[in-house]
Amino acid sequence: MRSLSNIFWLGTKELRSFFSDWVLLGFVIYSFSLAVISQAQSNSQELYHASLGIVDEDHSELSRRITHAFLMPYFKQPVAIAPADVEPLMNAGKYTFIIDIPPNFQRDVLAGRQPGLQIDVDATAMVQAGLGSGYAEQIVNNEISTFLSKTEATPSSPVNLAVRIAFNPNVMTAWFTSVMGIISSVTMLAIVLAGAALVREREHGTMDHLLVMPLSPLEIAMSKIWANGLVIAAAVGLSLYLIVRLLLKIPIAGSIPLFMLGAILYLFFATAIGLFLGTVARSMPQLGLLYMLVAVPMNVLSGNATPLESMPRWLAIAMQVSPSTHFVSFAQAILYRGAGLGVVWPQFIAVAAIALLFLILSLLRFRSALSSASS
Amino acid sequence: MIPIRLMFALFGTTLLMIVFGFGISTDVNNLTFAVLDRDQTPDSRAYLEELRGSPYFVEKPPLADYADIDRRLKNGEINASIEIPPNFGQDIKRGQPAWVSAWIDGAMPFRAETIRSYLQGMHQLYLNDPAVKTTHAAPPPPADIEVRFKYNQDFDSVFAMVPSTLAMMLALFPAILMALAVVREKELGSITNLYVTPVTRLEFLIGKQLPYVGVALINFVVMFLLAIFVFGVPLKGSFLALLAGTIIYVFTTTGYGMLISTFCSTQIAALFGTAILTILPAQQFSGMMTPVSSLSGTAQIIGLGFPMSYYRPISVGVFTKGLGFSDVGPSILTLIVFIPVLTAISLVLLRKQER
Repeated sequence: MRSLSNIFWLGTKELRSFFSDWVLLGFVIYSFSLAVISQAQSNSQELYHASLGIVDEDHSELSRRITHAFLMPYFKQPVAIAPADVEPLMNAGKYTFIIDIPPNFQRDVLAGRQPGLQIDVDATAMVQAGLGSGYAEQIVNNEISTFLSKTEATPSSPVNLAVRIAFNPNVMTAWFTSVMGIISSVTMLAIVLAGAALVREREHGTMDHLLVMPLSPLEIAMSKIWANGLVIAAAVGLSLYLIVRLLLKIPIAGSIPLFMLGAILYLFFATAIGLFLGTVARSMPQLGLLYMLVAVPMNVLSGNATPLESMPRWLAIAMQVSPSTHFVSFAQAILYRGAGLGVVWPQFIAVAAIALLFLILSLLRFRSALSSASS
Repeated sequence: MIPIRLMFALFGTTLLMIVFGFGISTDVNNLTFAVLDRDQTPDSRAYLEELRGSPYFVEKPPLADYADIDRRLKNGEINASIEIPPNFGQDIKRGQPAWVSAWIDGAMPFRAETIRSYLQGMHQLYLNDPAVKTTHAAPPPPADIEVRFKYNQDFDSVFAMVPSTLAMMLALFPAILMALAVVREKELGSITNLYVTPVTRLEFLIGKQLPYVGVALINFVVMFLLAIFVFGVPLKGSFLALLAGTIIYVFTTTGYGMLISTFCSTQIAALFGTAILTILPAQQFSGMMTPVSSLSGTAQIIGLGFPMSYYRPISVGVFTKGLGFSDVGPSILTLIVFIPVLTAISLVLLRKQER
């Protein structure tokens, strides 16, 4: 009981120092509001406003039809360009796609001569080029077929494929990136707050005060975990309700309380690893470097931007050790696919187990590391 | 700059460059699918043959019924399901249009879109396969449409992502180290030395900045060598253009950290602030995933104000597009503009803090 009250009072000290730092508070608000909104607007997962140039050397009805077939929001208004400008414009990255319609294209199509048509794709704009090139080809094909079907009936295909997308029928980026934005803010903030809380005490010499008081390392660690965890959990809840649901109007399939439970488990992990890094680093710049080494890969490779399936096998397996991967995975399962505890419990357990491991590790390092560093 | 931190900065960038170079990839493969074949004829197997032979897909045990589709998509065991209806083979023989239906997990939009285009591509291959006997002969295509992947014929993401990762690393480390270096002096009080000595603010800031510019340039050399020798991304364009762009770029990224440092008074705020203000724009808004011109709203504004949006075209351009000074000149000039602007704002903000 005594111990609990110590943990509580130490934690309130933590909260006071957090709320007295206005700039930090500003960054936290930014990272759970505007940063989430901007990620929702990044369109990074779909074909959106791709830039398209058209070299029309035919000037026929067919070439005009092809030009007008590229529609917003997938493609920007096609821009007519001269053949000589293709190379410099692609070099400058002004257009991801350039379609070259050769002279006499319509005449040759009608005569059945199978004229060539080129679609140049800037294959360094990976996502857009990958999603758009097949699409562009299909648009041109369809346009030519409908043009021809005025004169002759094209036979229907013997086998057809109907593709439907489950859970996000219009495949909208915002559904995905907004929640992924919250997750990456959680990772970054939780590790910094916990780690820095420790390093700051050491740099200012206040750690010595704590160590001579009748407090156990567990009490010091738990106070930092609950205080920092509470701030971030509140930010996550608000962000999910106010920003994702109300402002961005993204439908959430599953249970928000279940997601919050997962988020709290994850916070326990993230603050524990933050504390661990805090016991390793001797100064804030060192913590900053360690943080970059740990938090940035946890964020970037968790499957929140590029799919885990794309990684080499060794890396995908290594990322299974990182709770951020499980967090992303159960967030997708709960929020988009409406999965329940029956589906996500193995991931919850994985997160909790890794969290516990880091808490124990940081406790083991606590007193020895801190006292040696401050002397 | 203490040696241990220098070592760490070098080691850290190298490690992250390797991990990200392998990890940030848009080549989608190892996709899982399962089949609900309610026809079980040679025709249905012929259709599935295209999919089973694909290097992108891995087949999981067959599906039992619709509830199974639902369950296994939900728990993420499969990325896609393919259902072949009964009478599929019969329909083909009778010349009636047959339908195959696919469900794709849409929880990650990019993956879903990629699976959709793979499936449609394979469907097209099936239709054009001369071995597939259907009653109609497929009509010859009216035009020969050729899609050319310029600069990267095999469309292998490493040639775009490794030079982009180099740009990202040079945005993150210099900014964070620089921001912490300045705020550290404020928080620990040693900045009072600045006020009692005849050092001007400009001299103080540039004096802080130059060592980090130096570290960043060493990092650049290491990452440049990694790109060529570990990732096998050849340098096709002018090294001098890349070097010139890089030198200016690291001045802007350290300047960016400097700017953030001027309005932070604690190192926690500086660390988190620089992280959130660099990692997010670098990963999402600087053209690494989506061209800046295709972003909307605040994402685009943030992207346009972030130096990496102008350096990434230089890095990717010189490495993979084989560009020289004439092509990357405009980007270099834009980066140059950042330097006086960032420095001036930092000076103004640092002055205010003093009073």
